[in-house]
Amino acid sequence: METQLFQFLFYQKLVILLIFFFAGTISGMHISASSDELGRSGSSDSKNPDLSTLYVHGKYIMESYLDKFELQDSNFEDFVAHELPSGLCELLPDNQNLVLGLSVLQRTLIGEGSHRHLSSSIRLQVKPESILQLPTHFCEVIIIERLPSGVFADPFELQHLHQRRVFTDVAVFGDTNLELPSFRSNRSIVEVHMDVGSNILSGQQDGSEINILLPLHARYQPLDEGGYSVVEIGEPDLFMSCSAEGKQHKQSCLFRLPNDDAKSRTGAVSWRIPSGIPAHAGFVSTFTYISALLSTLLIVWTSIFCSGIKASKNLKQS
Amino acid sequence: MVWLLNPFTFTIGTRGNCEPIVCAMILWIIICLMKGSILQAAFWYGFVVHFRIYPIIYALPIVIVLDPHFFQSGLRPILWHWTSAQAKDSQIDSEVIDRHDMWTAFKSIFTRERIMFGLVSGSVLFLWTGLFFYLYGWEFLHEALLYHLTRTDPRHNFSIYFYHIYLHYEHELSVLEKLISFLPQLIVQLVLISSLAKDLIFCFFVQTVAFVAFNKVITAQYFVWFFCLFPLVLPWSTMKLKWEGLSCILLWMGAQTHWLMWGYLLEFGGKNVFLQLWVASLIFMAANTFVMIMTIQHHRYSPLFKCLAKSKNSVKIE
Repeated sequence: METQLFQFLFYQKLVILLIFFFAGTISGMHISASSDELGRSGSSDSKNPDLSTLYVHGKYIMESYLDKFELQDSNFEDFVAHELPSGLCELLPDNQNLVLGLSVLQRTLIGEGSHRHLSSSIRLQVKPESILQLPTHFCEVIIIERLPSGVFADPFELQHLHQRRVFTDVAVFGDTNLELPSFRSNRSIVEVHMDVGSNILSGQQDGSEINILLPLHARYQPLDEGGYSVVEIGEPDLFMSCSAEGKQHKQSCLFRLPNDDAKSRTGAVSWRIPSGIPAHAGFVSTFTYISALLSTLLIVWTSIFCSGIKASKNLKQS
Repeated sequence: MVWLLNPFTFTIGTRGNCEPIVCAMILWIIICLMKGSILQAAFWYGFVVHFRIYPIIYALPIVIVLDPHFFQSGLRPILWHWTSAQAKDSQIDSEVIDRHDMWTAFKSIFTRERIMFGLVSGSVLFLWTGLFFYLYGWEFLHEALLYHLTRTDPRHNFSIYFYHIYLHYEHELSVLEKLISFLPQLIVQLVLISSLAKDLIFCFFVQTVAFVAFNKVITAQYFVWFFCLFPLVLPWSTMKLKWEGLSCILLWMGAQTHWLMWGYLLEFGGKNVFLQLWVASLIFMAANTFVMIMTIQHHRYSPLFKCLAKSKNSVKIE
């Protein structure tokens, strides 16, 4: 009777476990599919046919960049000049400088330690002398941050910000490994989309100011005798993507925003990160091994000579 | 019941960590062994090792405790009923059993119960691994298992090895260096098992504390592994709260807090305090060693099971 009850309880637990397992598998596959837009590294995902269908065509401009190029600055300039799809921009004059002005007002690193926020303040202005007759359109600014290997953005953290509507859209491309130090890591690119409102190109608004607070994290740096390494984060690349409802279908236009005023260039942001000191290597290794050895000997001695077994032997002899 | 309200455990558990599930399974395996349900214990053991690799350290003590003196087919194992009066006699008895078993252990290693436990737990582990490999491919195998063979995380953690790993990360550690790092762990585990295996729960507890202390990476979540076993070993400890118990608690928590202070200055203050942090990890190791030594010295060695039938040798001693 007891055996039967025990067996019943055992099979009951097994069924519950299997239910949880399958439920977990199904929800896990769903979560991994929906969150795969963030944290993908360009080369590996192109081999997976299932993931390509999740991407809206042309949603991320860096998507096509990393499919073709390595993460080098010279490649990026070539890509922007020749490969970047410009879409249907016939509604706009050839030189977008006549329409829009841009100035990066401020760029700083907020916070201390290994986890900081990169604050960028950008002013977008439509020049009053060019008022265009355009259909209703919606524009968003695309900010491309090309991060050095010394820092990284956490895709899951950015996903939370996206869910809280801090950014219209955000994606990280390249190396997002959290553990590896910078000398074993590659660079990464963060693409942030921020909505700037409707009909901005028609001059109905004077302009807008966009503030972006991008959370970044420092990797472990190469060893340095001075005890600190400096990582430089360059200026962002800015693009504008506007879409309008045409007679037959939705038209979109993507163009690079030039920097309006040379004086507004803020330059690279410097981040001073602590790093290990090579001179410590010798004695740190020596004392680490000595400590491990000492602890081992003490525990072994206690187990053999001072545990209850030995105590009971003494008891027997007395 | 009071221990269930331990704030450390539910803080770790509610941040999305699965350790409470693992601990619950370990406790259930102990209950199954105590009831003599070897099949069920083997099933859950195979599953828990698939879930989290660390319970593999319990394999040898479980196999040792599946002694033909305690487990015979058709008979339920007899648990020791401990009172303070019995303590002396039972320790002598257990000492006789141990001395006898060391001689016959080599001859009678392969018993039905041991083979069954090994086969069932191994099959269950293989099946779960195979299932997830079928679902997720090489990515699963690498992330769940293979990664741990090569992982050397240089980032700061409680382990004494973290700074040594970081300082030598740029050039790979030699096989000899890796072996020397692993040797203290191996020696301590083997000595603890050979001394304490019959007192299964206490063996689990000290093994887990030692495994965590000597590991190359120590994070706070690992402490939950032995927290769940702590109330089970307390009744057999002769340690008084004043001042032996308090000194263990205060020293362990104090060393941890001291490390956390330097860790905060490094990670959130951006100060180069690697050397001080490493010294703090050595102090934490010393505190762990002290706690282990005190626990072993003040423990009343209490085998979990009683001999089912008296053997020839034990009659001679009497």
